[in-house]
Amino acid sequence: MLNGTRRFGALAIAAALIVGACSSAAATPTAAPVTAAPVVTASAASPTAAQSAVASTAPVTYTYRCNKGDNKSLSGAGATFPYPLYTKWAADYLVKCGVQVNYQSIGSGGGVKAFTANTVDFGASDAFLSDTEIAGVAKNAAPVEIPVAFGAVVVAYNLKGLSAPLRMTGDIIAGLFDGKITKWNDPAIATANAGVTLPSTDVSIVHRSDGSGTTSIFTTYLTAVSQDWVTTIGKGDKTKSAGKTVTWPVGLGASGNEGVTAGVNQTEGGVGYIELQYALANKIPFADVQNSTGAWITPSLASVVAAASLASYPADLRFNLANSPAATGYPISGSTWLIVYQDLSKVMKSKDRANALVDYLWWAIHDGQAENATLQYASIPANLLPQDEAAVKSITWAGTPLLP
Amino acid sequence: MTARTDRPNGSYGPQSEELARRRFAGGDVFFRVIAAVVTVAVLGLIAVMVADSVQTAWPAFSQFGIVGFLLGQTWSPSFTVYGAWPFLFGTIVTSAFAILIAVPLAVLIALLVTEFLPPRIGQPVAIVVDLLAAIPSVIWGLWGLLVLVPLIRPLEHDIATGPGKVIPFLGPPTPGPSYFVAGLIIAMMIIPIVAAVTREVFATTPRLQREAVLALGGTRWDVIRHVVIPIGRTGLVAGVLLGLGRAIGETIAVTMVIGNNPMIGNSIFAPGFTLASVIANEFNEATEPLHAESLIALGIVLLVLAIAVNGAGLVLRRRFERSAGRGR
Repeated sequence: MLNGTRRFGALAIAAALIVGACSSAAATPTAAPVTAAPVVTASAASPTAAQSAVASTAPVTYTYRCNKGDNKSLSGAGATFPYPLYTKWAADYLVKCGVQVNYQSIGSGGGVKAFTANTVDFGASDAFLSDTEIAGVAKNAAPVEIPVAFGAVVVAYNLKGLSAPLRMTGDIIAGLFDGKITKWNDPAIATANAGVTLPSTDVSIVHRSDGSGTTSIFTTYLTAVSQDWVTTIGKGDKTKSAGKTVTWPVGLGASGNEGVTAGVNQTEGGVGYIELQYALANKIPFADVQNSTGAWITPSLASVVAAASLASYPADLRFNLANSPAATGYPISGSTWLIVYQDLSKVMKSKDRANALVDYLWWAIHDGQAENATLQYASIPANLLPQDEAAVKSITWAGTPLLP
Repeated sequence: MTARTDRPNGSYGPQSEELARRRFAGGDVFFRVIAAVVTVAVLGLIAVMVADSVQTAWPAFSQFGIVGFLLGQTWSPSFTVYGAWPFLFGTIVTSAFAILIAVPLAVLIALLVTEFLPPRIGQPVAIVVDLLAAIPSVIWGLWGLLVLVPLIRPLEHDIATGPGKVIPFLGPPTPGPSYFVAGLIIAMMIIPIVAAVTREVFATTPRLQREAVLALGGTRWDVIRHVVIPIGRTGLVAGVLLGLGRAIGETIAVTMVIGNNPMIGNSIFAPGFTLASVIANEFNEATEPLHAESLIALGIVLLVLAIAVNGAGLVLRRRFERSAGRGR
């Protein structure tokens, strides 16, 4: 009987995977009503979030030049996390301007490699370029990094008989994933969840085995909040305790969100980290996390938007949202960047193509943002938009700005 | 060349042979050139591939030393320490385990089809087993991850907490994905290959020798033991090596069920990693040069392992053929 239900669950996951993988477009109509609600709540709840929600539906109407370039196409490569969004953008932009944008989701690392080798018009990454990577691309030209969407990583678990989401602090999450907390009724978890009867089940960790921006967001957060994490995983070095691959002391490695989810679902007591969109689409239970102000935050589109609304952003737009200071922000949030060269005359043969690229970027940070919420990504907050606009306008052809 | 001397004399006159030679001479030369070019191209391609891989991977070998790299126990990209042993170990354990399970089953299937079932039933059974080989490995992986792992975990748990307490390498914990499950999946994938080859071999056993044993009052089992298996040894070894070749290189299905953990487990129920699966897992995001180079170095280790297996197979096969030639 138990086996029967498990098997059915497994088939359901498989079906969900296939649907998720093959037709993000088909999934959109069902996702839309779900997302609409949290955005509205956010506008009511916090003024900062309200501003940012307005950003995607700003009354300003933008006009687009729709340069078609030398062959009506552009190419990009990189992060898998925003792949559904970039695919939808490409479909919209083809209708709007008749330019085909081909995006290969080969992973952030691959995206940076392809960008460095100048085999694509733009790269995409879930982590901003490191100083060494910037030095590596400098032989071509200086890069411009444009944050275009925001997401979150949730801690998904499999414990039966709980009526409300578990509450976790950064220390609890670090303790689980560095192997110090081995039972679910550990005093640390019990303290954070007063009144909840916790089982004595063994904790069974599932992490990503493939290098991933999801791992990067998750470990950057743990590095920011837990000294114990830095000591155990990075042997005291913060650059080694955060990244797309870290050295895990415990647990199973699984490939992709779907692999981690299967691992968690199959084991009573399983816990792993997955992207928020994936958890929402597959109705996987996940924990509320305490943020930097001490509030318990349920991961949602609204709390990610809140986390992304910082008081100010660095001029080069290289920032991370881990443990965001925003009062209603979800602390395990992250951004994803489009990366282009500042002086396109150094890397492109055709100025037409350069014009097509900046036109696409300009569209992506404005009308393109309307798709973000539909696909469960947070869009560019209102106070970041001017800086994104300035970044796109800073792109030149031999020193002459391409956009007016 | 030999074909011409073997041709029965008298069927062609000297004149007609001359004519035939003229007519086909052009085609012959053309065919020889094409064949030579293709052969050289394929060999050249392999040589370039190996040379290029070795050159790319060289920094990894020179940093850790060839032996140091092969026997290095730690693989940690964040600390830029790369050792191949956890993966080499995983590949050897899962392949050996798979062979251990698959070969007896495959031989039984082959014997059943050739010796016991009437062709009317045997043929369809053979076809169904052959069709197993057509299942894409990603499907095996999905099925393994979503069905086999949950199904087998209670068994793993019972073994680990029962006899596993005494017998080494069978102990807990049993998180599900493991060397054990990976070995099982590979076994299922190679059964059709081994079974197909052995079946063909068994089916060619001379009828006279079978009947001789029966005439001496032997049973069916005697026929199998004294005729079918000894005569088929060569083919059996070939089948096992074909299977082993596939087992060593199997990537995606193993990746999905082995638990991808670069630590050497102290139990077959522990999660592990294989050479092929770590390359598939990490190559995409290997931005740090030494990481990518070390992964390519693992590829070379895998290549050498595969060549060694096949080479050993060829030598063994030669030896068997020679002994078969001398008469048993």
